[in-house]
Amino acid sequence: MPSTCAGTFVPYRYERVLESGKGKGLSIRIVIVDDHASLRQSVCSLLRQESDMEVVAEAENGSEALDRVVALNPDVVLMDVRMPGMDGVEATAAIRYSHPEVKVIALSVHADPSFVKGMIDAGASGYVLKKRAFDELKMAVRAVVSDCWFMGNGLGGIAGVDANGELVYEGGHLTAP
Amino acid sequence: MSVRIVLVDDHKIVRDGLRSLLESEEEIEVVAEAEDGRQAVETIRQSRPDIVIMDVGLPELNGIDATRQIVGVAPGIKVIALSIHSDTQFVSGMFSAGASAYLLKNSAFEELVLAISEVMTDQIYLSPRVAGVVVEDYVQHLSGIKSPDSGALTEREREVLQLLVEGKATGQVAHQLNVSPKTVATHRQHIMDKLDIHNLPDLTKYALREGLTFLDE
Repeated sequence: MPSTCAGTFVPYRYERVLESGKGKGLSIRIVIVDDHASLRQSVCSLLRQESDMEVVAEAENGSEALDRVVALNPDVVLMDVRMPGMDGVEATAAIRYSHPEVKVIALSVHADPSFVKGMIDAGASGYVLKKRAFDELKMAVRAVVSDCWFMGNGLGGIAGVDANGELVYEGGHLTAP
Repeated sequence: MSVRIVLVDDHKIVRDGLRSLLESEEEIEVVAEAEDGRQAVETIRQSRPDIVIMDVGLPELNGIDATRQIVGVAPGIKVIALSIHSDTQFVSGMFSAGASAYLLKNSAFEELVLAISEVMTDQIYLSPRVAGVVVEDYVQHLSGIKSPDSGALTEREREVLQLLVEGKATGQVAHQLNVSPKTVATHRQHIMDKLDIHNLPDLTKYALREGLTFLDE
């Protein structure tokens, strides 16, 4: 099972999404960032079927993603890791610096721990592999807007980071993303 | 009557998304999915679709060799390549294997719908984004700069090579291809002799260069 807030802080509760106003007719506003249009359109089509989610923009590289975040202040950015120009790591760091309330979920083909750590260090609170089903991505979106980590299946048990910024594996003590 | 489609991609989220988009189109039905080339060949034997939408970089059996096998077992079937690769060995490899269309994943979905309608009327669809590569390749052939595929490997040898460079042991390759380990060892020796390459790192480089296997991108 993916780790959803398995650590010492707030457990993942959907009520938190409701408390924050998201889900009460106010959808979770999402930006999709990927250099492949077919992937963006595919994920957008799937997210559109979720009543509590709304895709507000797409971007094909990190630089465009920053522009979209500045213009639209979304709740969640789904971020490819390797892209031409500004990549996902750089873009995530920039977004989290300028808009710390915006959550970033990496959506990547790379399961290598160095990629996962790179994205977490940059400020991502979730990481999902493209080889996994869409259900996992939906769960990730709902988890991160509830201030939880979401590390999907296939990542070697990485669950988040601790207070020292070190990677924590399942069962360890996480701090909030 | 609906166009019956099989989706082949090693990324489930891509298959989920494409299915959702395709099924929103009238008269298109996704009848099955496969996550690698070998599974694709098996699936197509059973489901006999009109069209296969095929990723090129696939584990176990790459999209080029899977297409060759599919067109062999199901003549008339249309294979549409949908890939991140625009290099000549992938584009020409897919068309040589019998594909009817080639698109890049950075193309919009509308282009895939266009390709589907084109191949259903027995046309070839070549995305403008890769047309330049094909023309360049053609001109090189005409001018004799480049000889036709120098890969003297047989279809079976290509399969064995892909599995070997993907880290499978001889026994595993034998099991997968339903042959004896001795046969696999013979194939391996023939591959090395034909290519004059006698170590795994260099075989891996060859396989990557020829589009037999891929790095994750």
